[in-house]
Amino acid sequence: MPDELLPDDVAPRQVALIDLLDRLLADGAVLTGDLVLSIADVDLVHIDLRAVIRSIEPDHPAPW
Amino acid sequence: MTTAPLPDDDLDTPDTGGPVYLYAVTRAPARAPRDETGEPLAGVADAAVRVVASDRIAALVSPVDPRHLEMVGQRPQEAELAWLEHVARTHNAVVESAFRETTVLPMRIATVHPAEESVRAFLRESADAIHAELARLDGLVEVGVKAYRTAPAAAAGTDAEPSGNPPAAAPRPDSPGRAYLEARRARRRARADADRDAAALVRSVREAAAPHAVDQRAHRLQTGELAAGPGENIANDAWLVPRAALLELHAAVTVLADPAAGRHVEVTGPWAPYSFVRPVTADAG
Repeated sequence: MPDELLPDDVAPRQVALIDLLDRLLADGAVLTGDLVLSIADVDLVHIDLRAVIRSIEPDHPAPW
Repeated sequence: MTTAPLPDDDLDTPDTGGPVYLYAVTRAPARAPRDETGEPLAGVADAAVRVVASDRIAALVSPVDPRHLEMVGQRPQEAELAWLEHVARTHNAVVESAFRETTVLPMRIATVHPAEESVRAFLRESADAIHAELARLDGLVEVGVKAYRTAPAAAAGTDAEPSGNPPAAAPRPDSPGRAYLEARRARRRARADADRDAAALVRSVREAAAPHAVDQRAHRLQTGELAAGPGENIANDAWLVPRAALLELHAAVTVLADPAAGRHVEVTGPWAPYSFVRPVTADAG
């Protein structure tokens, strides 16, 4: 089991989507450039992604 | 390392001049990441990942049609989740390709710049802040530590523990109401015990992890369809850990698990420091 934590082993493992979303969609946790956009508004996309998750699971307001 | 990596743009694939998806920034020089066959790593929607560099910083980008991202919310739900999963996994794969080599600052998912030139401007204007953040995170990785509880095997059955009250095992003939109350009280006690156990597990896991880490962040507890843990998620923490302390932290928290008693601990990672990157803006520099 500890072998799973060896850095060389990062790539082959399939990470759980929910663990990934915790990190990728967490509020304010991830680096943002405030210069981004004009074409695709990042925050809009961001919010839309949340909406997708919510709409997939209407019974769970915060499913990830 | 037979050929010196270009300090600036990777020339294998031309700049399309259009919008790019930005995955992460790291120190230059960085080579465009390759897949196992030596081809450029495929980014979102299979576009090749390239490097944009300025001020000794390299940004990993790939050309993207922003409509791909804006379409979110307009397709059948299964398709949306599949698309989200594709973007999330691709994003992580690109971040990790760099993270295996060096310190990275992962960008928020679906960060799109109108053109590579805009990325270059962002790197230029935020250079000091980015270098400072890279220096702060050098040698550190993120580890996920999740705790779960399940009903202990013993409590689920009808066997009364020697020290416990047999719940309604012998209802007194003269008082069925009293037997009912006893049983209810026993159930409430069992629930309170379970809650105390859960809180104690969370506390002990955090106390065990803390000495090996430099920072901690609690993510929201995992519930819903995507949550696939062994039971009810009671802690979902990210820890920022020196690489050298990874195995110690792993050992310190997993030893607290006792599945038969309903106590579970799961460790994920090491991750790029997603949960610990501070916003970097031109002003912050």
